[in-house]
Amino acid sequence: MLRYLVNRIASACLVLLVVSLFTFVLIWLVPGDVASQLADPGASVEELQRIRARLNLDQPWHVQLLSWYGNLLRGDLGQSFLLNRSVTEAIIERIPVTLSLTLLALVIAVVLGVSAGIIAAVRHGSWADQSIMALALVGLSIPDFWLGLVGIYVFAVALGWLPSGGFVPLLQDPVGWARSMALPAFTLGITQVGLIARITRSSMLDVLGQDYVRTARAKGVPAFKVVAKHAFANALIPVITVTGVIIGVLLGGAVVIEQVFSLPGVGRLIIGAVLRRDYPVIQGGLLLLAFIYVFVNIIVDLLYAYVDPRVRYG
Amino acid sequence: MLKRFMANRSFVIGGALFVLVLMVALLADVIAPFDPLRNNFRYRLGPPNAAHLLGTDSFGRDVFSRVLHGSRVSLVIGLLVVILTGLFGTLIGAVSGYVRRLDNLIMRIMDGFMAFPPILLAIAIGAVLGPSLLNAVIALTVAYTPRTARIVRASVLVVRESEYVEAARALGAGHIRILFRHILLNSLGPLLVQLTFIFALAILAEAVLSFIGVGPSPPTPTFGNIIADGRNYIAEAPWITIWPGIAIMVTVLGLNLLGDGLRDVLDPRLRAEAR
Repeated sequence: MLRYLVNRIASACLVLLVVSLFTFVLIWLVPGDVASQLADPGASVEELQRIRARLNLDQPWHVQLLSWYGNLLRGDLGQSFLLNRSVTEAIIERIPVTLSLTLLALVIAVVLGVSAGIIAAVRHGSWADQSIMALALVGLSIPDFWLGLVGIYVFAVALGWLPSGGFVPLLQDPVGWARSMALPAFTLGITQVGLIARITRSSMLDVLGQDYVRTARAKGVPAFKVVAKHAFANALIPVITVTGVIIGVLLGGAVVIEQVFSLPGVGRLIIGAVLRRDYPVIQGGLLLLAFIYVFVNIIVDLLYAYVDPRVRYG
Repeated sequence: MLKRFMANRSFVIGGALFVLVLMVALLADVIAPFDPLRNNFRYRLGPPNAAHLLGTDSFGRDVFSRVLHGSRVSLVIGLLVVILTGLFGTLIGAVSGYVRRLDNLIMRIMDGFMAFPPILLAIAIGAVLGPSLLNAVIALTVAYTPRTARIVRASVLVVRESEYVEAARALGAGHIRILFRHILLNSLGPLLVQLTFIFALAILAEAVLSFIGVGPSPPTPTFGNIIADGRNYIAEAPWITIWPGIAIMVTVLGLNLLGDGLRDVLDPRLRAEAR
């Protein structure tokens, strides 16, 4: 187990190296002169020079690279142009909103997806199976941000049950928090239910056809217990894998959903920065979300090794 | 083969939906009753009626015509992303799978790119390059190429060890010939399936990019741009927002069904698994 862990972390470090290198190179992709794009049209030469110095762009590339990694190791992602503060601070302040949104959406997606998948597998071939699978495919085809807008129209504008956006901190008003997060979390989660349902169903069908399940049935284990204990435990592995992938999709989706519902998370910070060309914030936000994703995937892999002992020795 | 395709319900329904969307996009000029860019300030935010089937937006532009023309732009972006992703993904995947010495390095770089949520990567690249159709295509291609490369590599690894490749090698075929003629041709199935799903993902992602202002700039109609226009008027004029979303859904559903059908027919092994 320890060797597996060390291997996993080593390859994650390699991935993080590529991730940080790409983020560093990103600013070089800006067409033309970065400084003159950021400055006012009539900016003086000194003004342009000041912007370059602030972005380190007046240094040779190897100095830029060294200082990028030096700063990164100290947790310094640079200064935001528009917020006039450090990128790290701005992100840390907003990360709880993004993480709680992603986590809530994940819980919704997994609970609904796994239940739907199990029902479809147990009632294989029935109308329930067919309608669940059809719905799952439709769900995969819905743009999440659009579903959010439709949700706002139905539940906020037409029915008036929920707020159309805005955020209430959990500690300040738990009920208000739940109301402000309900629509965004459901919107984000529901688009991933279909994928989890499809994987759960095919994995359950696979397991339900195995000999040991037939043995369990033959020796008189109640049907519910066969499904819940014998089959599901073994069907779980592909579900865990896909959950790891889905966390990445949800983190990306959260960026847009925060924008739709005006939630003050990292996503809204990034999109605000995109529209105003605040490059250090874009780089910092991108880097941080990728780091979270890599970290989560290490946990998923360890969970995997824990659930399925075969992985450890493979 | 054709018979097997025609017997597959997903393939037939998905194919029909996609052909429908394709026809609509191709014939947008003929079908659309209005110029998608023409303002009409006398009928702003007008509800659907006989002349304006899906209503009008805040500039009085006909939403139906905008959705028709938007489908064209969105499909072009999707198609370009599919072509470029297929090209680069195949190239990278083939080299990685065939040239063992480069495999580890290439795949670690691909892993690095896959550590970014794809939509976020596309947003960042689009933001840096600036909003335009071409830049949206570039951003989405970078976001989806690593996944394609991985799939191509996986099938190259399998086919490379097969007996007929060994036979070709024994007959003195060169590396390039073996790679293209024997290995890649036999890896086409999984690639085709993957590209269909990438088409679907690219349509969804393009809508996101346009929606947040990193896609083709307004007033160009794309699905995402129209939804972004409607967003501020969701209470008074929900039709501006709702219809382009349904158009996206139909397009993507068609592609997803098509992909499922292709996979069932081209890869019977997977069908056995998914039942």
